[in-house]
This record gives sequence, C-alpha cells and structure tokens, in this order.
Amino acid sequence: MYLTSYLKYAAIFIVLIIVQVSFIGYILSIPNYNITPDIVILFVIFLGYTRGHITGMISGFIAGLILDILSGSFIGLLALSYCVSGFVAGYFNTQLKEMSSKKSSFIGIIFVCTLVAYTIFYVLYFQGSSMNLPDIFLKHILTTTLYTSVFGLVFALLFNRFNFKKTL
Amino acid sequence: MKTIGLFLIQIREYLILSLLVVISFILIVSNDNTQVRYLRAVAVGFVGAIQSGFSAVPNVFEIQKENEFLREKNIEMSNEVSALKEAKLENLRLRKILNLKEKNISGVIIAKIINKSLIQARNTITLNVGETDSVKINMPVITDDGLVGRIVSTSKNYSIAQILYNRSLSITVKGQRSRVDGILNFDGSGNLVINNVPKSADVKAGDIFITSEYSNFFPAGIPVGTVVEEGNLDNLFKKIIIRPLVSFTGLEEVFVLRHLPEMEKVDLESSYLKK
Repeated sequence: MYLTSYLKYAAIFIVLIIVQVSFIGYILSIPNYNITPDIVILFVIFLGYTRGHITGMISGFIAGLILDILSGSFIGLLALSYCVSGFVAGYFNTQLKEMSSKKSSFIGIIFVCTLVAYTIFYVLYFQGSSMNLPDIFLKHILTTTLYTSVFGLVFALLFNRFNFKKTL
Repeated sequence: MKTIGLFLIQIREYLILSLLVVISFILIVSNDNTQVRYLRAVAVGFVGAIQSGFSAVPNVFEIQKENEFLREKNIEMSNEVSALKEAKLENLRLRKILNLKEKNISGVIIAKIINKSLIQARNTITLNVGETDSVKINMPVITDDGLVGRIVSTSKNYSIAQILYNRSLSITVKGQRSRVDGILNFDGSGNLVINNVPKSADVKAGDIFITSEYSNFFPAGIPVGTVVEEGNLDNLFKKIIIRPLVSFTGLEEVFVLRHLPEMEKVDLESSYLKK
C-alpha cells in the first residue's frame, strides 16, 4: 500500500522535475529578472502538508538534490532548501487533520513554505556577493515566491476540489 | 533504555531533519569530486535528450522582445548582406589570384543551444555537442562577439555551459586600453561587476574588458564586455559595472573553444595555496 503510493509520488516527481528543467524554466522564465516558477516545490509542500514532516523533508531533499545535479552548480543547496520547506509544510499537517470542512488555506501554506525555502537558498547562494539582504529579498526571494504562489493558486484550487482526506 | 528509545522516536522528525541538513552542507562544501561529475554526466545526457524536443517551443515572455530584436537585426543584416555580396566576389577574385585553399577552423566546435535554463539565478545553456564531439569540462564557450561562458558538465551528446550571468562563474579580466586587472562576477541583480578596483585606476565608460592571461580557464584576449559605469566601494576601491558584448537574448549558436586549462599550473598554484 505504502510502496505503491511512494512509487506514485516518485513518478510524479520525475515528471515534474523534467517539466521544470526542460520546459518551465525555459518557457515561463521572465527575462532579465531570473524568475522562474517552481512546480517541484509545490509537490514537496503538498506531500509535507498531507503526509507530514518526514515525507515532506525526505522528498524535498531528494527532489532538490536531483535539481542541484541538473543545474550544474552548487550541489546540496536546493536539497537543503526543499528539505526545510517540506519540514515546515509538515507543521500544517496537524491542522489539516483537525479541519472539519474542506476550506483550506493551502495557498497561504504554499507562500510560507516557498518563502522559507527561497530565503535559505538565496541567502546562502549570494554569500560573498555585493548584494545586500533587502535587495536579495526583493529581487529574488519575494519575486520567486510570488511567481511560484501564482502557480500554487491553481494547485490549491485543484486541491480544494479534491477530497483531500483521501490523501491522508 | 526504553525511555531513551521512546524519546528518540518522539523527536525522530528533528533527528532526520538534522541529518539531512548536515548531508546538504557536506554536499555544498565538497562539490567538484568525480562521483558528482559522473552523476551530472548521466543527468545531462538524460535531460538533454528531452530538452532537444522542447527547444522548438518559444518563451512566451521573450517572443515580443525577440521580435523587436529580430526586426532591428533584419534591417542591419540586409544592409550587411549587400556589402557582403560585394566582399564575397572580391574575396573569390583575390583567392583565385593568391591560389589559397579554404581554411578549416579546427580550434572550435560549433554548437546549437537547445535549452536555456534559469534555475534560481544559476543561468546555464545546454548545447547539442558532447564528449563524442571532443567537448570537455572547462572549455570556454564564445561567439564572434565575445565570451559566453564555460562548459561545466558533459555527456555523450550534450553539454551544459555556465554563462556570464551565473554566480558560480568568476573570470579574470583586464582592460584592453588601461590594462587594469580584476575579477568579473555576476552580482545576482542583473549586473556583471568587477569589485575592488583601485580608485586611481584609469577606467572609462566604453572601455572594453578582455580575458586576462592570469585566467586559469580562458585564453587571454577574448572580449568580455564594455564598461557601463563606475561606483564607489570605499575610500580606496571602486566597482565597475560591465555590459557583456554577447547578447544572450537572441543567442542560438555558439562556439566551444578547444582550449583546456594548463593543469600543471593550476595544480601548482592550488597546492601552494594549501600549504
């Protein structure tokens, strides 16, 4: 039972990573601003939210590591960011269990978790550069978080329509 | 013992998180080893095959910008074409006179860009040439305008190059006119900068910066960019903002230079620094 669902998650991750690297980053990136929506993190957050801390952070770590390898740059940085994001998403897992209605603030959770991930990522990434923290926050962290959250909105609507208790 | 076991189970999430964070930091600090390079080669080959299929799909945000750029370029080109036609005829006549054979350019590998990847300010391009075309890691990538970047990963048929707008790429450069040395970096906010240039250095807007002979990876003399403006860092130093000579917007084809760093020199310098 568990094995089947984990295999299913792995397959979804593979598809999302391929789409992210070969399609999203190329087609939907905003030129001159280096902003790309991140669909992989949306699924990491979803897993953390529905399955808890451990699934969230392990899936985040593995997905981030694969993206790190594909990026040809610092290996381990996205792995760390996604891992912490998946862990933070796990905190909302209890809230989900306690909810009686289908109303969910999933979009808010996406925003918070993405913000956490990209704060870690960009603060470490721009170490030693001439950019100051407010600049990093406004030009990279906030913009990427907002762009990803817009995509998350679609994801959240689908999530709300779906009977999410089945996923527990 | 049982209590300790129960306690560990209770805090297992935090233990796993700590373990993963530690692994991440270990990976960050030990980045360029053989295993990582092998993993990259496998990944690049796999994704490169998929990306070549997507390369025909345009970027929705770039279409308008690209159209304007292409229109301007078209006008320039049609003027150039007529001039070139004349030059070609003249060239043919002169070749015939001098009895010269067509030259083969053996120092470069022509490559097509099949993907531009923007993964969180780590800008890279994927090329349709790989190890079978003799592309190797650290080879410079250029166009006829100037420097584009450096190969960082290869597979059998594809390779990935970091472009100038990548935080991981630092280039030793010097002013073509003033011979002022410096290290060029992408600052992450859209500018290429040379920091810590002495305030007294003779640098003017419009000056061209080229790769320096001190560079471990690039041959000397490749044009990199022009000076846009200068800014103060402190009382002693200033920073120079550089605009690259290569336009990355409409870039489709590049050349990989068959040039590799002199490892003896690199090893000697790094072993001395480790002492």
